[in-house]
Formats: sequence, structure tokens, C-alpha cells
Amino acid sequence: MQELHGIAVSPGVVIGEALVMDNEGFRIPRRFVSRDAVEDELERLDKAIAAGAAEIARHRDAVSQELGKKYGEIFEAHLQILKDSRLHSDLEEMICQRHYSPEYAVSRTLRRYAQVFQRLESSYLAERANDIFDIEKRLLRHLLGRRREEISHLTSPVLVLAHNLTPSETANLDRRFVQGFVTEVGGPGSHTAIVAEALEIPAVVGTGPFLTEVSGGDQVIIDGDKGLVILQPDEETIAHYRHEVEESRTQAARRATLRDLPAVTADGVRIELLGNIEFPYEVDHCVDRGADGVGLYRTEFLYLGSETEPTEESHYQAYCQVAQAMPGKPVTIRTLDLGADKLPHQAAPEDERNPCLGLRSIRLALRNLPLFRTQLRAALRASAVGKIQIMFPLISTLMELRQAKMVLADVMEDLDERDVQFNHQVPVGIMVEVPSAVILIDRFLEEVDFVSIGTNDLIQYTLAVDRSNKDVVGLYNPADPAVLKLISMAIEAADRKSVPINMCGQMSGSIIYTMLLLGMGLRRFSAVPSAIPDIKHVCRHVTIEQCRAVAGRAVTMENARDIKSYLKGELKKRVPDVTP
Amino acid sequence: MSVAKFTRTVSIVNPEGLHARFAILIAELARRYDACITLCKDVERVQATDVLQILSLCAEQGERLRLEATGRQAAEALDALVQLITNYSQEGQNSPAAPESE
Repeated sequence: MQELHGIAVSPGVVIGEALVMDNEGFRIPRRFVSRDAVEDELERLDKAIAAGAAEIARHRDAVSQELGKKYGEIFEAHLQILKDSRLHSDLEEMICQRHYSPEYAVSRTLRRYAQVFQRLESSYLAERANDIFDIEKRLLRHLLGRRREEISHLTSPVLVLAHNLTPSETANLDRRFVQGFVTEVGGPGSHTAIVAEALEIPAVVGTGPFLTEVSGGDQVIIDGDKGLVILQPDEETIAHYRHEVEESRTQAARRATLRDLPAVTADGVRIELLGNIEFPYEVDHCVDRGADGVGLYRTEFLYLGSETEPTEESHYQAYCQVAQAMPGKPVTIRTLDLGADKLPHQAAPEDERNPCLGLRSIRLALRNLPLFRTQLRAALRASAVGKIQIMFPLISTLMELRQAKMVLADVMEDLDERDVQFNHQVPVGIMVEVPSAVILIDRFLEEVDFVSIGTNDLIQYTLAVDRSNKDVVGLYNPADPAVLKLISMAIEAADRKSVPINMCGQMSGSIIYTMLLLGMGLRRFSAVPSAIPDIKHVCRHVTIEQCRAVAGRAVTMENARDIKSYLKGELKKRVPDVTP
Repeated sequence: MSVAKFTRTVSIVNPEGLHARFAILIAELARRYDACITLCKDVERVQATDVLQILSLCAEQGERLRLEATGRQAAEALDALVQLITNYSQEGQNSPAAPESE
């Protein structure tokens, strides 16, 4: 049994079979083959070894000729290792006696040798581990050939363990079978975190290297509450976690009873609770939680999930699916919010030394008008089907907002000319996530129908901290007094002008801040759907008066740590039966 | 034909330990003799002809290996291997002594 500690990014506990992906998105395969296939499997192994050896010999000769004999020697070593008689007998034994698949046997056996080398102190011998991994990969490539499996083709439930997951990998994964994620790298805002949250499955990221110690088919436990991953758990641990899984089912059932109760405070003030979604199917999670609408529909998956630029029709289908599932309730579509470096269909930008401050989001959209117009056309068409709102992200100047609105007006004109139906009064709003937008909030409020505070970016830009950088992540804190001041400014200004204001960052989904935000005057929260029941529970147990007192006190405090622990204490006092 | 078991002990002298190139030389040399040769470090025992096994002994500078051999050319094989391992240094390897012609 081995325990790994990482960052918990999506709650829940799951016990299951590992699907291991290496750095190249290469899947380390399942463990067992059927008894009658043993002969065929042995033959497949022999062929793979022969093909691998031939390939290595060719490399050796080519490299020796080009760079000299000394460089060819490394391949000679690979070749000799591949001929090792004990290795062959080990592999055959695993296939014949234990009915392991050749892929699993290769992976398991070679990784065991690699571990022996990795443990060495002598750096020279320790590096041999990389040679072993190289050989492993080569054999797997020959074994799997074209059948190189990816996570889009699954047939049974798995926990995906990977170095990192790319958006295209997660976008195409078969979500019926993926029950949890663990990645060696990544932080709270990583792509894996967002997708896991969307799928409502447990996830732990940033565990550091461990993939060499597991093979596909191993039993693994992911504890997304504590940020723990347990490899090869013992009986006792499994029993403990089975109990936890049961427990959380019971809790989920209890929260489900909140679904049809209204979100009103103890003194009768109605609060709107909306869902944040990334994928259209998540709208079902919102409906299940009795959400008042979709407060943030991120549309990036449309751009990341496919090799080609999304068509107007694919946008339209996705938007309609969400709108139809939310009849009479608002669905806020946020337009493209990606960095130029993330857009797969575009040339990489030249001067992007600092992508967070670079060509991204609305700036990118305004520079790629055909792309932007395609999305706006689809969103407008969907406004004939449901209560669509359009929201522009990362607005930092009034000019940007006006430009974006001009493009929208232009698209509207086009649609009118073609007699296409849409809502001419479609509400248009902005994300308030750059400090400049808060500072000039009064002017922005004159030109929009609603605003939504994006806390993730607002915190990052206010405190100048990249939260995926573990060396500075400690500075990233929603409870920072400077952040609270900006939030409070935005809410007050919106209240004065009677412009609806929402909050859709992670902060609004964390019940630590619910009382504070209510006290500051916020009446609309948009959060990951799974957080809605808890927020509702808190709302129903507090009065606005109590919340005002909490907010009043919190903003006088000096630092984020004090504020956070004060808020936790107040929550515990008023709503003892929730755990933030 | 001899059935006796021959045993010799030798230290790893080169600073890199028993690394890949070195292991290959040992295996190649061992294969030339009509003998069954085992390398032992502590309780681990491996065939002297298997490169991966030799490497997995993880023998570092200063560590001692025991060589055991049986078979027709057991004694000669051990002589040659001990010479190879003792003389091996990272700058230049002595080419292994050829076995006596049969």
C-alpha cells in the first residue's frame, strides 16, 4: 500500500481500477487475458520483442555510423536487455500462469526493474531507469500497434491516472466510465480540476511523480476530500473507504431533499442560485439541484474538443441543449475565454511571454472576428429557443466592451436581413474580473444589462499571483482584504444602479464566503452545481442582519488568514451541520 | 569433464559501478565459455549472461561480487571474468581475453 498526497480539486471518494496514461497519452493496458488466449498472447509478445529488437538494432547501426560507436552503445545495451533470458521467462510466466496480458506483463515487469534503479543513489545507474522506460514504451508500441488505446474508447469503469491531461484528451473521454482523476502535475485551476468538477467525480492533482509505480488494472482509491491517492490499498483501507462511499451516498440523498425547497434566508430574502457549467450535459446537474438557471456557461470545450474550428451549428446545438433543459430560466453564455496559446486551430502568438496578460479571451475574439461572429450568431439564434444572456469575459476597458457590442449589433443586423429569429433584447453583460473593471464599474454599469464577478481572475490580477505556481499560491486568497474591497465596491455600485450582479468564481461556491457575500449585498450566486445544495442550506439558516454583521466585521480585519478563520467560525456557529 | 564448482571474489573498481557497457562486456565474455556462471551480490544471484540481471545487481564502486562457475571451462571463464572486472576502468577497457580454442 502506498499513499500519495496531492491537491484535492474535486470532492468525493472512489475505489476502482486504474487506467494509467503516460506522458504521451499512451495508455498502459488492462491486466488479464482469457485462458484460451494464452498461446496467442505469447506469440504476440515474441513478435513484439523481435520487432522491437530489430528496430533497436537499426537505431544502433544508424547512430553508430552518424555519431560514433560510443553513442550506438546505448542501443546495444537496450538490445542486450531485451535479450535477457530471465526477463523472457518472467514475462512468459506472468502470461501463462497469471493470465496477464502481454502489455500488462511488460509494463509491470520492466517498471519493477526501473524501480530498482530509481532507488539507487549513484546517479549513473539510477539513470538506467530511463532506458528501461524507453524499452517498455517500445515494446508497448509494438504490442498495441494501431490499437493504441485512448480514453475515448472505454468499456468498463476506470480511474484515470496521468502525468497531465490535455483538454483534447478530457474533452473526448468517455464519461460514462471515468470515475476519478489523478494527475502528477497541476493545481486548483488546472484543466483536470475543471473537468473533474464538471463530471462531479473525485480528483486529486499535483501528487508529484508516481506513475512508474502503478500499472493499468491496479486497484486504487481516490479521496478527493483529503487530496489522497492510495495505491494497492490493503483490506482494512478498502473497508474504511467502502464505508465512506456509503456515507457520502447518504449525504447526497439528504441534500437531494433540499432540491425543491426555495433558496430564501431565514428572514425571507430570496437568493438566486445558478449553476456554472462547461459541458452541455452538466445542465442536468443544475436541474437536479433545482438551480435557478445557468449563471456561467463556459464555451471553451467547443474549441478544445475538436481538431477543427467549431461550426455555427455545433455551437447552436450545444446552446439549445442547455437552453431547452432550463425552460424559462436564464442561461448565461460566456463567449470565448481562451488564451491564444490554447487555441488549437490558430498559429501560436509570437510575443506571448506572459499569457495571462496577453492575447486572450475577449482580446483574442476581437482579433478573430469570423470566429467571434460565428459564436455570437449561434448564441443569438439560441435566444429564440430559451432565455439566453450573452456575457463578454476579461473586459478591461470601455472600448473593448463597446467594440464587442458593435460586433454583436452587426451580427444581429445580418440575422435580421436573413429573417432569422432571435431575441432582440437579449441581455448583454460582462465579467468583472480585471481590477480596472471594478475601478470604473459605474461607467460599465451604464452600458450593460448585468455583470458577473469572476473571482478566479480578479484575485489573480489584484494580487498579481499565478495560482498554478506552487511557490506563490499561498498569496492567492479570496479572503484577502484587497479582494474583498473590490468585490464590495462592485456589489454596492451595481445595487445603486439596480443592475443585476452575480458572482461566478470559485469563491461563490465555497460556503465559507456565503454569509460574507450575503452581507455585502450579493443576491445571486453561480457555482458548480454540486455546491448549490450546501449554499442553499446556509442561506436558509442565516438572516441578512447576521450576514451584514459578519461582513462588517470581516472587512475591518487585517489579513486573509484572520478573515478566513473568522468566517469559518461564524459559519460553524450559525450552520453547525455543514463542513466547508 | 569437470563437475566441480569454482568460486572467486572480485571488487568493482571503476567509479561508475557496474554500468551498462560494463555489463554487456561481462555477458559477452561469459557467453564464450562452455560454463554456467553465476554472479552473486549478497543474497542475489544472477546469470552472468543476462545483461538486465547483471545491471539489477546494482553493484557500485567498492562492492564485492562472488563469481561461481561449473562446467568444462569453468576455471578459465572465472579467470577471464576476474581479469575483466579487475582491469575495467572508465577510460579504456581491456578487450576481454579470448577463450582457449577448443
